[in-house]
Parts: sequence; structure tokens; C-alpha cells
Amino acid sequence: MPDQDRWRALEQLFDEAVELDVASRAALLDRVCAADPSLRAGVERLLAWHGRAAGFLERPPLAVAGEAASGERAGARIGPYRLVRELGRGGMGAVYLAERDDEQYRHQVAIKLVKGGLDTEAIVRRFRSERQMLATLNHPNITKLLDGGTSDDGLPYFVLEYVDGVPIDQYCEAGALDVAQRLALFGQVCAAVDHAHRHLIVHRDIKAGNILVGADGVPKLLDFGIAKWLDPEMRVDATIPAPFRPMTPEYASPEQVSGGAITTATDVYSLGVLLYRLTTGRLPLEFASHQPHAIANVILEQDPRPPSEAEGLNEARRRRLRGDLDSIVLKTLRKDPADRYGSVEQLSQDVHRYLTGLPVLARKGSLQYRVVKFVRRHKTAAAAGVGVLLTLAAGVSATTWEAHVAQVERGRAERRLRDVRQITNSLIVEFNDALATLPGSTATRALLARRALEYLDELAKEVTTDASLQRELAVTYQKVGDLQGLPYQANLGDTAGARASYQKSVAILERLSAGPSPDTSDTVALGTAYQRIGSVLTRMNEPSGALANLRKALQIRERLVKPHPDDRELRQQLAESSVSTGDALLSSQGDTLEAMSLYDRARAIRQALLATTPDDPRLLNGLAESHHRLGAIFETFGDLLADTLGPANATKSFRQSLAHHREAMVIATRLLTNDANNMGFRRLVADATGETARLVAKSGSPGEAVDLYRPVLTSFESLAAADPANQEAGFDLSVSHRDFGVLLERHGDRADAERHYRQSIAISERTLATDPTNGERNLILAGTYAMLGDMLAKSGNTAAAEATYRKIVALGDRLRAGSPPSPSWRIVYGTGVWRLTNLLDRHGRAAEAAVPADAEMALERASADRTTASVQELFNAAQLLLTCRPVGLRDPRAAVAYAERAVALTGGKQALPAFLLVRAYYESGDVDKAVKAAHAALALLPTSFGGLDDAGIRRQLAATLGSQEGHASAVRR
Amino acid sequence: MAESPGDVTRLLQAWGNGDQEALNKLLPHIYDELRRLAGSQLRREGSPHTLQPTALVHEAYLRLAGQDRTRWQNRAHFLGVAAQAMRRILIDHARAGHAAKRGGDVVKVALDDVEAGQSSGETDLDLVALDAALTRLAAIDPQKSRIVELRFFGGLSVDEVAEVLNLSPRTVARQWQMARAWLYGEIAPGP
Repeated sequence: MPDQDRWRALEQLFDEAVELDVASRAALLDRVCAADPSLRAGVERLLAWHGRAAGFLERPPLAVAGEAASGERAGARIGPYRLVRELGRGGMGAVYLAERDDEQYRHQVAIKLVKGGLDTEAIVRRFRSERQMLATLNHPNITKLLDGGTSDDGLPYFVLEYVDGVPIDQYCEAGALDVAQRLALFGQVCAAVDHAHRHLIVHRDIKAGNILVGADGVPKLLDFGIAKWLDPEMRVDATIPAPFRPMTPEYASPEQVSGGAITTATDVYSLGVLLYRLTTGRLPLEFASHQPHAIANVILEQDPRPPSEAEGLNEARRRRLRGDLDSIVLKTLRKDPADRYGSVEQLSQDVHRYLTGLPVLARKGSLQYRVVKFVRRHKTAAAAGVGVLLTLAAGVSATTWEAHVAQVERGRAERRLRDVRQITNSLIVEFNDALATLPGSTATRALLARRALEYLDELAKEVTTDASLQRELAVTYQKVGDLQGLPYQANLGDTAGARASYQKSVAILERLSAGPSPDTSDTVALGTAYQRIGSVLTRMNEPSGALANLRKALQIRERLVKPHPDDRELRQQLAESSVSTGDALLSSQGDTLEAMSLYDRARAIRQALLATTPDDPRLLNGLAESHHRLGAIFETFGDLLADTLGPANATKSFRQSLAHHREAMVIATRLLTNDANNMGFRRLVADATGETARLVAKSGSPGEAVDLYRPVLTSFESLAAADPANQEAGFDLSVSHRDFGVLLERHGDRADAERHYRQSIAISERTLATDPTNGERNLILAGTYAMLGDMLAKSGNTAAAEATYRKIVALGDRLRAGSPPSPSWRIVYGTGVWRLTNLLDRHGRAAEAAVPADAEMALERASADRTTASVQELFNAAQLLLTCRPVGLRDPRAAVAYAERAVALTGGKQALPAFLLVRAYYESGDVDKAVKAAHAALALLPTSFGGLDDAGIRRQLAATLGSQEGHASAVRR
Repeated sequence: MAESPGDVTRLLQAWGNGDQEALNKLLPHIYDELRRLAGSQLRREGSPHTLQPTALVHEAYLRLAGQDRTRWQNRAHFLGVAAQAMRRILIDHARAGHAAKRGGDVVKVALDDVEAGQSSGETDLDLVALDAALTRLAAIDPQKSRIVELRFFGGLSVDEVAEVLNLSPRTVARQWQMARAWLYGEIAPGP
């Protein structure tokens, strides 16, 4: 193997030469390698290989059935032999049954052959080594080497004595051999292995399958394919990491899986496994999993049961094995090679002593072994014991007594905590997933979670002084909480329980951070705990509680970042906190501007972090998210301004919104380019493009918007087609058709718009068939009907519009009829009635409109009149009072009262009710108040949107509201 | 899936921050997940099936890291670990094929362009031999071995490998060239 410097030189020269043509290569090598011909040879060899290696490793590995390949050689001739059939395969070649048919009688042999394509130098070397080993060995229980050579196509082979037999364990079972007979056979195997050891060969792969017993009852050890010469220094084969060493897990020794030195003791261990198998029919260790790490764990950690206690034995066999044979077998299976028999001969002699009734060596010292093992196992406890003795010897002063208490507590608690963590981990890691796929297992999982919590609660009472244990407790509580109900991942759906667990974690962490030795990690964990409570409460639809907890998380993270401005993870967390707090603010009628500045802060943090890692997908995704939120907020501002003060005043807002959405789209596209197969990114691009297209249209370029959106629809179509059973994908496609319809309508293409609206409706109705009271989907469907109806009404197709609106009312009725009624029914019903009554009234059917309009008004007002009415309910009533038809039902003064209450409820911080109040004042005839309220409302927007004086506002209000048909602002969904 | 996505993400992060212990905890989960994804294809006998590591790795990523758009992260690290797991799966499978000793299915690699002169036009290379050669390469030049692991077993593009190892794509392409030539010399038949 070349040394590092040589390799680097080789590399440098190769890199340089490979870029050149043949003549220039020669010139380069002449110049550089004049004094070093072997370097030159190395580079030339590499260059030659490079020339032939085109396509090599360029394709992914293929898994193919190997039948054809294995059959290909049957019938072929190797030297004087004819191959009959394949007997088996090893790491480097295959073994065939062959016949020498040029003689009078047919002589059967086994031929081992290097496989074509595998005759690399290393494999051939190993192949030769096996042949050499077999030539060295001459023992009646080892297969004999008969011949060897090179086949016509240049492949090395050797010829072995053919053993027509069965594996030793099957032989014992088939013949129902008794223990003494089995041990006698085992003795012959030991003799074979001992013979190999005396020739400095370790077999390394002793197992029942490698020991065949023929009809004559003689066992033969075969397959020295991975055997190894013992060199005097017992050097470890360090180039091959343990997991990649060839071995058979069931027979592998601890040193084989851990990468320790391979010695004759390795074979002693495997012989022990074989002995166990022969005497009990079982294997000493049980492997529940076939993962390499799990196998290694079992081999390294698990102690085998004594053979006499193996499963499935009858009492007579148990008695036969109990005692001496137990000791013999267990001594071969010790984890530490030094604790096993010193040689195969010793093992063999002990077995012989047992058979002849002499005391066995294995029992000597086994008590001492057990004591040592006990101490090793209970190191912690023993150390605590020593601690107690020391403190007593030193005299029990108050402080040492406390230390002693702490230490005892720690020892006890540590063990318990380890147990609990094991339980929680298996809950989360093993049981949860295994059970999750079983129907009806939720109760079992919940029970397991409850059990873990009981342990934890008990433990929490005991652990009162040790900070690091309390820390562990807090983290484990969080884990249990995640399992119970962390949104957006597999959980038990017990959100309330999750909240309680997180709160316990919070209590511990609060105590720690207030304590004498607060640790940054406690504060970090505290932030996480509050954040999780916040997301659980969001899921539980408790926006104000969610906001309070998310704010706490935000404050903690703000505090953390200050002294650690370079900690990227903390800054990321701060950005994430900012966004979720912003979301919570908006959904709990909080401060719009504050939400905006939080989103903007998240954007700034992520942008700054990206400067060092420009392709970090988590950051890019976060940045896209920030831009999306900002875009949405500016769009809302624009809508409010357009409705109240006219479209001209909205332009700036829409432009800003568009800029953010475009930015989000660019980032999403970049993410998808970096990872073209990622379905999540495909969604992200489609969503961001859709938003951008809508804003392009609102900014006055509907044609461009239509072109921009077209591929989005295609994208959703293919997502839905790829997975027709996926309801979510169908639902997305329905929304996409609708969004496209809106753009087409804006572009003036009503026929196409109608087609897409109707397609959207058809898909929605289909997906609703399986889940007819799904609130969110009914809302979407109602919205699409509303858009279609509005367009039909504008086109003068009154009858069709009326029919469409009546469908919305029917949807509302259906939702209302459910038990309990779906909470969405009011919105759906209200949307339908408002539109229907407007339409009827405008077409001279006021009498028909009056009854449902009146009823709807009564409903809304009843909700708003409650003292506990929400901002949303007040808002809805006020809006209805301002815009409903027949016009006679309108009552701007009553609307003012509701709007004032809504504004007061939000502390005057929310733009939506503030703008509605402007309108209410104006329509009630109080223009001065309207102007004042408009100033207040504008103050809730970024300062760049101000700049209108009283006269300007008056003019805009007159232009926008004075001529208002009550048509533009639909009831907001 | 062995752990919840959040834990996998955390482990990925910890590993990214240099915690080697996290890798040890992570590998079994990814290994399990990939194994399950690969399992149905690997178990089938009689007809050839193409294993597409890239598709498997990406699918496993989606499942492990969750589909929530704001949740995924450290994809580069994931791909790195996954390639390693992929190698293990394929090698384990190849070994299982050998151990079956009855000519069961064996994982092979198409080498059809390697020996154009060969009559069959295709030679099968045992992945076990490649694995061993790759391990030898790791002893001399770990980075090259890693690049091959990521590209060949992980199915990553040069750019993705560059991302995972934090190298420039040019460096990766150059190293790949030499690693491939060297491995060819170790494995391919002929002088």
C-alpha cells in the first residue's frame, strides 16, 4: 500500500496528466518522473485504467436474480473435471460438484472456482491462501485438497474431497443422537480445529453449516474461505471496520463484532455456540432484529442462558445438562476471550472429563467469575457504597451528610431514570411505530405513555437536588409530550396530555433557570417547551393561550441570542419563534403591525444566516416562508385600502406584496432545482407561483398572471393524477382550478373561467362525497360557487346565478343539519343568503329577498349582541348591516356600535375592524369621525402607506364608498 | 420508521455539529427505513429489479424528516448517512445471497461498458469485491472512498456530493475520476 506522500504525488500527477493528450502526457512524465520510475509506472497504470473505466460505476447497482449466472458453468470442463452442479457460493467464488469422467469409475469431487470478474489481485491472493492452508492441513476431519490449477479461461481453481453429507446439527436431530453421541461428534470437530490451530490457522467461520457429516458418520470441517493465518504478533486486521468483516452473526464472537483481535479464542467461542446448538437444539443468543447494531449489541451485552435452561428441553435432558455441561458451555461463551478456555484442546479435554464423569475445569473459579461480573455490572451502586464508607470514616459532618444524601439519591435515581428513559425510548422508537400500524392499538400506546408518565412523576418527587438529573427529567417529559401530541408528526392525539407533560418540563426548567447554577441549555430547553405548548394550543384552537406561550418562547430566545449573537441554531430558533408568534397574533386578533415586523425579523435573520450557507435548505425554506407571510400581510393591507379608500391607494401595497411573493417563488424554484425529486418543494413552487400570479393580476397585469399560473395547474394535475386515492391532492387540484378561474375572469376570459370554476366544483363535490360535513372543504366549495355566481350575475345570467347561490344556501343547510352542526355552517349559509338576497332585490324581487335577509340579519345580530361576542362576530354583523339588501334592512348606526366594539376588543391594533369602522362612520353620515378613524386605521399600516391629508381622505371616501353598491366587499370567508 | 421525525432531525443536527455518537444512533433508523423501502424489491426473486438508490434515499428522507415543509433540514447530512446505509444494505444483501449457498439472488453491478471486447458484453461484478476495494481505498484516501460511496451507493450527483462533503463540484469530479480508475484497477479482470 503506498504511503500518504506517495499517494498524494500520484494523485497530483494523475490529475494533471489526465487532462492532457497522449503525447503531452509522455512529455510531462518524462519531465517529472525522470528520477522516479516507479511513480511513473503507477501513474501510467492509473491512466490506463482510467482509459478503460468509462462507464464503470456510473450506473446504480442492480439487483437481479442470480439463477442464470449460477447455472452458466454447469457442464463446463475444468482440467480433467466436468462440472455437474453448483454446491454453493462463497465470498470469492463458487463450489461445484464435479466428476472426473475419463476414468473407468466416476470419481466425485468438489471444485472451488474464482468467479469470472472477481479475479482481482486481492481475491486471487486470498484464494491462493485458502488453497495453501488446505494443503498444509492433513486431518481426517478436514476436507482434503486433491488438486489445483488454472482453468482454460485463466481462472484459478482447486479440487477438494467431496463430502456427501448433511450439516452436523441436522445429522444429530435426524439420527436422534443422545448427548454422549453428540459430544463425541463434537470432540472430533474440536480435534479438527485444534489441528488447524497447531498450524497457525484460525477458521473464523465455524458453524453447523460448515461441518458436514457423511453416511460414514465422520464430521468434516470445510470452507476455510475466511480463515486467516495467525501471525506471531496477532495483528488486528485494521483496514476492515468491524461491521464489514465477514462473519455469521449467530456464531460470531464479541471480538469479531467489536473489531478486537482475532485469535484461537475466537474459534473457541464459535465452538461453544456449536456445542450449545448440538446439546439443546437452540442458539445461545436470540436476535430479535437483524440490524447490524442490534446484533452487535446482543453479542456484546447479552448473557446466554445456561444450556439446561434453554427452551423446549425435556426434564431428562435438562438434568443431563445441568451443572458441569452448563459450566463448560458458558465458559466457551464468555465475552472476554481471556475468560474462555485457553485452547480448543482444553475445551476438548473438559468435554472428555464430563463424558467420563471427572470434575470439569470449567467449574473451578466460576464463583469468582460471577462475583467479579456482579461488581462490574453494578459499578455505580458499588461506587456509591464506597462513597458511603468514606464519608462515615471521615466523620459525619452536616455537609458531608448532605453530599452523601445527594450521592445516594443520585445512584438510585440514575438507575431509575435509566429505566424510565429506556421505557420512553422504546415507546417512541419501537412500540409506537410497531403498534401504530395495528388497528385499535391506540389504547395500548396510550397506556404505555401513561405508565412512562407515572414513572417520571414518581421520579420527579425523588430527584430534588441534582440539577443534571432534573435536566434529564425535563427532557424526558418533553419526549413523552411529543409522543402524546406534538402536531405535525405521528402522535397519540392526546393534545391535552401533551400540554400537561410540556408544562411539567417547563416547571422543572423554570426552577433550574431560577436556581443557583442556571445553564444556557436549560434556557434553550425552556424555550423549546414553551414553543411546543404554543403549537399544541394552536392545534387545540386556543389562540390566546397559544400566543401567550409562543411569546414566552420568543422572549426567551431573544434573551438567548443577545449574549450569543454567533450561535446559528439560536438565531434559527428565534426566526422560527418570530413567525409562529406572528401567526398567533393574526389569528388571535392581535397587533397586525407587530406581526408584520416579526415576519420581517425572521426574514432578516434567515437572510443573514444564508450569507454563510447559501444553499442551506432549512434556511431557504424559512426565507420563502417569511416572504410568503409578508406578501400575505401586504396583500391584506392592499385589499383594505382598495375597499375603503379606492384602488389607487392600494397600488403600493400590492406592489410590495408582489415583490415578496416573487422572492418566495424564486427561492422555492431554487430549492426544487437543488432537489428535483422533492415533492414538498414541488408543492412549495406551485403555491408560491400561485400567490405571485394573483398579485400580478391585482397589480394590473391579468394576462401575464394567466400565463404564469398555467404551469401551476398542470403541476397540481400531475400530483393528483400520480395518486388518485389521495384526497388531499384532489382537494388541492380543485382549489387550483378555482384560482386559475379567478385569474381568467380578471383577464376577461369568462367562458374559460366558468369552465375552470365548474371543474373545481365537480372535484370538490366528488371529494366531499366521502366526507360531506368537512368544514374546510365546504367553505372552499361555497367560495367557488360564490365566485361562479358573481361572474354569472355580472354577465347578466341572473337565473344561473340564482341557482348557483341557492346551492350555497343548501350547503349551509346540510352543515347545519349535522349533529352537532358543523361550526362552518354560519359562514357558508351567510355567504349564500347575502348573495341571493342581493341578487333578488336588485332584480325587483325585494319581497322574496326580505324574509331570508331578515332572518340572516337576526342571526348575526343575536351573536353580536352577546357580551362575549368575538371580534369576528361583531365584524360580521357590522358588515351585514352596511351591505345587505333590501337596502331597507341596513342600519349604519347599529353597524357603528358593533364596529366600535370590535375595534375596542382588539385594542385598536387590528387593521380589519379599524377599516370597517371608517366605513360605518361614513355611511352613518358622520364624515368627520370617518376621517379621524381613517387616520387611525392608516396608522396601523406601515408608515409608507400614510401621507393622505383630511381632504384627500374625504375625497377618497366619497369616491370609493359614496358610489358603493355594497358589491365589492363580499362577506369574508 | 424507527424514530419520530423530530428526533431524526435532531440527530442529524447533532451529527452535523460533530457529534459522532449521533451518527451511531441515526444509522440504524435510516438503515431500517431504507431497508424497508428496498425490502420488497430485494426480496423478490426470479425477475430482475432495478434498485434506484436516489429514489429510495429521497423517499426515505421524506418519510424520516417529515413532509412538513418547515421541518426538514440538513438534507446534505441525511444524504451522506443514507448513502452509507445504502452501501450496507446492498452489501448485506449480496452477502446473504452468498450465504444462501444455492445460487439465490445476488446483487451485481453492470459493467457492460468496461470490457467492450468481451463477447457477452456484460460482466457481473460482485458488490462484495467492490466493497472490499472501497474499504482498502478508505485506508489510503478516505475522501475518495466517501465520494464513491455517495455517488455509487447513494446515487448522488456530483453537485450533491459536493454539498454533502462541503467541497467544490470540480474537486469532487476530479477525485471521482481517480478513485474510479483506481477501483477499476483493483476489481476489473485482466492486467
